[in-house]
Amino acid sequence: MLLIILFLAGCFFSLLFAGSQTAELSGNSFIFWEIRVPKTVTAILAGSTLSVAGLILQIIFRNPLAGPYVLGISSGASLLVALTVLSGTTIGLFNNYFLGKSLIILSSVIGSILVTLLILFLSKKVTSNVILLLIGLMLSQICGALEGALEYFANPNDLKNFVMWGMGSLSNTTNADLLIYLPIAIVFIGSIIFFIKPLNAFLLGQNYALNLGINYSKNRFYLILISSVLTGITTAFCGPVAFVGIAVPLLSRIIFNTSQQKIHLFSCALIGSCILLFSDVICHTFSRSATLPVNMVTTFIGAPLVIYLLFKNKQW
Amino acid sequence: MKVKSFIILQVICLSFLWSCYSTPNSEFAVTDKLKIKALLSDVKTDPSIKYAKRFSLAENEKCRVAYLFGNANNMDTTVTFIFLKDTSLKINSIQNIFVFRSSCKKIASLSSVYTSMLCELGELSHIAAIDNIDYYNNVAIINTHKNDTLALAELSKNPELDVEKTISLNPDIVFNFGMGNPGKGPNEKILLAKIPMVLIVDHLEETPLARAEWIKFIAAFFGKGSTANFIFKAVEKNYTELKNIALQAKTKPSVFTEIKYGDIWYVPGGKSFMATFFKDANADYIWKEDANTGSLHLGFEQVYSKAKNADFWLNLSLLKTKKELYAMEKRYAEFKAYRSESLYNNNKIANEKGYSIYWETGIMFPDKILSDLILIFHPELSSQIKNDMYYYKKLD
Amino acid sequence: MVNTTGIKIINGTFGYKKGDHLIPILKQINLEINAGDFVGVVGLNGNGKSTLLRSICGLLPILGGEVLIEGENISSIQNNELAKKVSIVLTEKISGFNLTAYDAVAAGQLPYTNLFNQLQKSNLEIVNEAIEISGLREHQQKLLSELSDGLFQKTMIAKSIAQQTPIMLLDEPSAFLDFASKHRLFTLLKDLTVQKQKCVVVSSHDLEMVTKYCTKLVLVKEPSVQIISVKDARSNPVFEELTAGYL
Repeated sequence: MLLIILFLAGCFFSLLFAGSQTAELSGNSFIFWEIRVPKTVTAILAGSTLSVAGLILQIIFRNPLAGPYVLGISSGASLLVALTVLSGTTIGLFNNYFLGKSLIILSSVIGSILVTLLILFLSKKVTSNVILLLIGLMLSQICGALEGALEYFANPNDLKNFVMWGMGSLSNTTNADLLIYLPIAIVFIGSIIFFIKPLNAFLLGQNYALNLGINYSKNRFYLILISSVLTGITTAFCGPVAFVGIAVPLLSRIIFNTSQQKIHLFSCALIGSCILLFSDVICHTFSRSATLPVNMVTTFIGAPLVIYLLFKNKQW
Repeated sequence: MKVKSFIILQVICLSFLWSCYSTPNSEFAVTDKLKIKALLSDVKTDPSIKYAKRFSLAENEKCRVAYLFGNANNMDTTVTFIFLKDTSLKINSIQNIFVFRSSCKKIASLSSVYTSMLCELGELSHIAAIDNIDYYNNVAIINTHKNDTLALAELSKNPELDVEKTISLNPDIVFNFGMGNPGKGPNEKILLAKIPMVLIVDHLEETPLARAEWIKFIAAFFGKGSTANFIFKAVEKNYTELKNIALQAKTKPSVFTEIKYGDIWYVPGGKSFMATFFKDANADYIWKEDANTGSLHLGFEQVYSKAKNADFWLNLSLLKTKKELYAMEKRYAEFKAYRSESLYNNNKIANEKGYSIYWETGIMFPDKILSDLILIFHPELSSQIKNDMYYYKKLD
Repeated sequence: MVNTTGIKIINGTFGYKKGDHLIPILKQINLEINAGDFVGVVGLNGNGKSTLLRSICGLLPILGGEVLIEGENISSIQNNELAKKVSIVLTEKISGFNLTAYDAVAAGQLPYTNLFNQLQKSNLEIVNEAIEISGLREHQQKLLSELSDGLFQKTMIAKSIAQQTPIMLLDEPSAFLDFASKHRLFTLLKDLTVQKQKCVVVSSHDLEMVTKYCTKLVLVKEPSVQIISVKDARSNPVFEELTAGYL
């Protein structure tokens, strides 16, 4: 209940105050409808997709320290996008709006699937949660470095095309983008309700899940696909957004002391949206004209939480 | 099974969207397209554009036209700007074609280069917004800003353009630096708000005169072609004369530029704008054999091995003294140019933030830069150059 | 009509699969275990006790032969149906994700719930009964990570009971239990076989317990097994080998 109020308050503040101009509903309608509304909707979508993707990853890896950003999945997606943009621009693939966007989304999703599968493969070789986290961080560093190298070698004119990929940004989506982003996000988040049972069973580990009549590998495949699509589209539209995916499921488990994943599914979507909405508001509160990158704020929220949990060393 | 049906649903959703996109407001766009085609069928290209390759101007009885070639997204795009003489014509802007009924009265200029061109064209009173006052030495601009900060908005206090401020300002025209992709980020939103934005690509030109010629392009938005021609003609004449003076020099001193940032020393390529200046000033640019029009990313070692015996070292970031240079990196002292005190920087006149007037007017007046360079490289020719140095100054 | 054949193995070959490579551990074995049987599986470590149990409930692939569960071939039974026929308690420890003892027991009812894993009143009654039977009432709200080894073992057995399967497999359930708990556990399992006509298969090292409570013994000695009645155990050479004459 409190969450829903927070969510609505977040929407309200983000719509009315998160910008350099004071926009009123009756005032400058372009600023309201074409800038604030897409930004607010993007914050909601990005928050919920990343949080839900994080929830799924944490369950699949049975590791509370998993998340799309810390495991390098976002970076993988963004690396592949950079590659596509770089090679695509030269042959003029991005002149068509729809084709361009589809290609970016597709490469972003493929990038996240590839990294997820790599992590899955590596996770079988290591037993410790923390080591997996370290491997993920290394992977994200590798992807970041490769992306840096791409920028370094690229034509300076193409360079600006993916400078924004380095940092997450909520303000680069237009209403036209939302027409693609919104249905994909809703359909894929919605499809998880068909996986509530497998998710609950996965909590008991592979063998018990199998014994409870869950086809482990098939369900795991679909869940990885869903979480990759969720991470992929968000990265395609916002770039890699830090720490939301790992922190929100952890918060959700603190707030709702239950193992029922359908509750966490909803609360993750809500908490994730709230966090990004308020991050967006915070970005604009320090100064009217200067905005902070949204990743800075989410990192400030997410990273201390992870450190706190590492210190507490409690099995969530 | 359930999942498969969802994937199918998703495909249906996407194909529905696809069909929406492939026909955007087609009817209006088509009639406007036809009208524009008819309007532009008999335009005559302005033959006076001699150097610049990235824009052209044309005219007929009904309108003037400016074409801009290439942007960061696609080098083959042509963006057309039509200025109607006959304002009764009912033609709307469509994608990549902007139609203007009257000359622009409210300008947002997002680079000091364009701002100074606008001032030179006498459009100062129409400038409503600039990028960031920190970059300016222009007294008129600074005074306007000081007297009334609202009269001259700053739109790029952040690294990124403030979209909301720009849109609520609602300028007639935005002159923006052509590095950004028009289909992404702030630029996309501004174009979406139906605010005409020009992504100027003068940086893609390879010679100083070609870049200076862009004043004619900017003038087209205000019908000030003759003023621009007059200004450019003087620049061209001076530049050519200076080039001839430089040829009389007996020596050909060697020169290199820039300092390193972090580990990387960005030096202008052999076919770049800066390299052309050195060639025209009859100096020997260390990387003249290189084929790049942009910049080279080198390490200290690579620069040192080629430039240690060079006679001159120019364009040292925002530095003012030799001490500052030494403090940054002790190994800089190993260069011959450092020991012989042949260090010149382009910040003779700079504001308190260290930004030099060179960056504002240098593009527009390459003759001034060339005269400075000749004075630096060939002091024996100083009798033929009437003036002092404009931009350059020896490091203290 | 209740089918009295619980588990029937014909020429079964069990083991592991690594890629295309088969690693058989038990070969060509034949077994028949009926409803109401309380079977102890004994054998030296690494001789295939776990392999046998895991193969019967579908956690490991059948490498050869047939396994019949209540007369039906295991490979032709749907996952969810198999979950209602055979349950297993493993040695692995699980924790995390806010899982309480109650949650773990409730998971036993998962095959009987709808798509959203909603527990109806009838499901809840079964879960509560399982908790009651296993004596977990005071501990049901504790997190799995807070439970002692013994309580954890009990929790998983309660989950198995809540799964309401005619066949219950338990891999080393007594390993971490103290003397009294062991007896309570075996009594509980014995009651299940007697009262509910379940077929319970327990693998154990605890020969004392097994001979005291079970009705039959499966002696596992790689690569074969044999099933004997407890009464005949002492005259069996394989059993003798296991006890080394001390029992």
